[in-house]
Amino acid sequence: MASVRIPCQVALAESCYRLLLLTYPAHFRRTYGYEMAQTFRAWCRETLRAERNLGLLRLCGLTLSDLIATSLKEHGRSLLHRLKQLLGVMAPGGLEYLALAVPLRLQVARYTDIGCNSYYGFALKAALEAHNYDLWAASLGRMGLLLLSSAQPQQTLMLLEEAQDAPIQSAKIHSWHAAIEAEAYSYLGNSSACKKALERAKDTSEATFSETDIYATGFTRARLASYEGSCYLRLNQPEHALPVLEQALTLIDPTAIRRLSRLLTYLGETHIRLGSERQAYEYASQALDLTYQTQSLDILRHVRKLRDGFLTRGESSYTKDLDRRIEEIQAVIATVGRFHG
Amino acid sequence: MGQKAREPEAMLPLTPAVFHILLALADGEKHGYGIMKEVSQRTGGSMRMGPGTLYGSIGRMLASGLIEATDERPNSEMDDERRRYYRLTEFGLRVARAESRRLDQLLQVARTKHVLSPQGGF
Repeated sequence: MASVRIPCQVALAESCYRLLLLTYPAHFRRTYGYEMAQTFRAWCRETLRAERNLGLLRLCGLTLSDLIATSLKEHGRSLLHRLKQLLGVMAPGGLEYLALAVPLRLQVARYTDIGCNSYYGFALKAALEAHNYDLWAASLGRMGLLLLSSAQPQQTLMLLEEAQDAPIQSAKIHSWHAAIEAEAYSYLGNSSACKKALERAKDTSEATFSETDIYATGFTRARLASYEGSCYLRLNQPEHALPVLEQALTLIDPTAIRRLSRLLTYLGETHIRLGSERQAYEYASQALDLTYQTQSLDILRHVRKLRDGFLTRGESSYTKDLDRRIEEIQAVIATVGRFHG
Repeated sequence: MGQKAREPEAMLPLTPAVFHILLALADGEKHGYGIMKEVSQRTGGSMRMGPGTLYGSIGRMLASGLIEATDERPNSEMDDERRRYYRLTEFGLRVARAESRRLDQLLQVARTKHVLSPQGGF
């Protein structure tokens, strides 16, 4: 490299300029600081050669005013950029970062009846933004189940259809979608389509169930049996529903009390249809015990349905007892609601 | 989810500094000081950008894809120091053309209203 002598006036001006570069935001200084100093030095050298000291002085004045104006401008931009990062969704790709929080939100939605729609809607958007198709399909499945609970099986099927061509990696999610599809067909009373979907859901290896459930599908062997039982129940085949629901009861994690209470209501309903009221009452009663803890309005609705079943069969003692306990739970839920409200 | 083709008109109007930098790079790549010199010479010294204005504009132009940086290399005509060079992108050229057309239309209006004589004088 040829050595070029730097005049002392230029060296002094450059030293001052390097110091003044500290007024710029750090990221700007790191990116362009070196080039700016290099450019300033070359400019000073040529100006000194052409216009002597007076020209150099003018240049320093011009550079100083430029530095004040542009350093304020860059700080403004830097502040705006940070604000956008803080607001997350406003920044391009912000949803991608927020997608990292989606599995947690899915878990929250799993344990509460409130705000599920917004959780799942958000999850779908964030997962697509992040090109995370497994997360997207998990959110789609949860959304499909929510639609089923509000008796919209056609919409559920449409959602599941969307996922069919997506590059979903998880075998667990594939099987889970098939089980939800079976549920949707059972709501529509389409027995053959329901059974085909159930076969697809069951045609899976043990590895599927041991796969880590990072997107909170909650799909286990017990869950599959529970889906199958509820399908038979809806298809008015309680004799087929009973063995699979009993199998689900032996497999289910006893700490999963929301799911357990739902399973108990299925068993209660099956026994009513099979004419064994005493057992139906036992299951309804156990479901209510759990509802004191879960305070799930959904389960309460199902127990009321069972109570109506007893009523039509003239079982007034069971009806009376269930009515009393339903009222008690409603009072507890109302108190908690007032406390939180 | 295909990316939309960007319209150069969406970038208009350009700031004087950005348009001057685009014009300076229209006939080949240059380093920062090369751009400054070219702008100053072409405008007869009336447009003098300081390093802050130059690199602030360069940063935004790189981010919006108007220009791109090439590898650093020495400049034997100056001091042999390694410098980063910048060049126009295809999109940058389209934006420069669109801005030129916009300014040309403005000049036509100025001529029609006799603010500017047909020869360009006042």
